[in-house]
Amino acid sequence: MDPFSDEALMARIRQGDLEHAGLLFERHHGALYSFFVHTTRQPAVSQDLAQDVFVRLLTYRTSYQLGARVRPWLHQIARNVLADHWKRPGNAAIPLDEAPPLPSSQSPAVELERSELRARLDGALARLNPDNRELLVLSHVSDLSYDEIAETYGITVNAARVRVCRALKAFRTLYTQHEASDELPRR
Amino acid sequence: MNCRDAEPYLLDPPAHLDAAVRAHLTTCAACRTAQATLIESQVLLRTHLPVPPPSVMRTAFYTTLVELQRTRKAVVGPGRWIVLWRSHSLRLAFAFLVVFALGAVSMQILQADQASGSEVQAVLSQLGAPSPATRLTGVYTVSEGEMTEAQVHEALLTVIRTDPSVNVRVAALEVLTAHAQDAAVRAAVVHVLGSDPAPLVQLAALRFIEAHPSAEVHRALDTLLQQPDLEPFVRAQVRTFLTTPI
Ligand SMILES: [Zn+2]
Repeated sequence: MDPFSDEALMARIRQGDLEHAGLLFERHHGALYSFFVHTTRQPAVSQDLAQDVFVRLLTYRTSYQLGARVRPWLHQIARNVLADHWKRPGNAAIPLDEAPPLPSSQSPAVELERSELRARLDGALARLNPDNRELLVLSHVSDLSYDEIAETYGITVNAARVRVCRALKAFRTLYTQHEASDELPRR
Repeated sequence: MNCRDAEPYLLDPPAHLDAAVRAHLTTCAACRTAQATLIESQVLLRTHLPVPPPSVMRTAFYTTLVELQRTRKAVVGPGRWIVLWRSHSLRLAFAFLVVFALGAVSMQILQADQASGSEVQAVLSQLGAPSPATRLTGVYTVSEGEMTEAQVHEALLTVIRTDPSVNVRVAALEVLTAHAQDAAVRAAVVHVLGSDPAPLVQLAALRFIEAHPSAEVHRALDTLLQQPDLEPFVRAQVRTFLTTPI
């Protein structure tokens, strides 16, 4: 086994060697932050939620089953963190027209050029039902394989494949509708 | 296979359906168009969904981790850590606010503000403390106070070379990024990159030099790649860096 694989690191963290959590943080905090940003549309809240995932990883490290894949386990924790967030009073999804624009990974010049495209993408994503949105983020940002998505949700690999494809189709429909509405003559 | 059967498998069909989906695609223009549209959507999402995480997350995480390591021996239940984290993040947020406010006021009063001698001494003693949590606090105090004194610099260079805690070394490397124009700092980081055994520190050193590439850095990275037990994740990052022209 690769001594620096996620699973090997997690086995050492489980034994109390917490220093190795830093490497897992470096590998996965970006994807988890993006996951929360797209599911809550609140960057500041997303920071706290992503941190919470790592705090739970450390806190519940002994519940990690040796040999189990770490990425699905981390994303299960992330989904639990999100569910707990929505349960707390006062935490509701922000309506799209009140949500601030999301931070971008592009340079300012590229961003300016692409801002319209981003707005359209964000709009389509925000209108997608939350389950589909979550699936698309897991498969396209966290880059989870169908195997890993199946493990995260406790479904079969084939079901994961079909669900991601349907989510993508639903996204495409919303994205195209938005595109079409943009092209209507304005009065 | 008809269109309805093919539809859920237009992207990455499972092995046992691959041939059937391909065969359907050769005869069905509608499914080919649908497939192209789905692939285009995937590219759009992969390009635009990732959001860069703010660097303050790193500060908060390593602070929590060091605090956890320090207090781990105490017998506590899981709930305690969450309380600890929450209160800690509040403390951190408060500390940032205070530092920001103090910074704004002192900038107005005095242009090139220098830390007082006693502040420098306090930080130096924190950086040399036996507790990693105290040393980490020292590192972040340097960063928050934007301390530029030579003694402080020197102490941070000692930290990245000799501190026993990986997390303290990583934090010090990040603080030193603000001083990358200093040749002594760059040389120290290159040395760390080739000699520190911890992948996490190697990654932090790589982040540092990514912002300041040079021929000497490229040579150090070539040497690093020759280490047979180099962590694959670090190796991949180094390779990516080396393929980017200076
Ligand atoms: Zn067809």
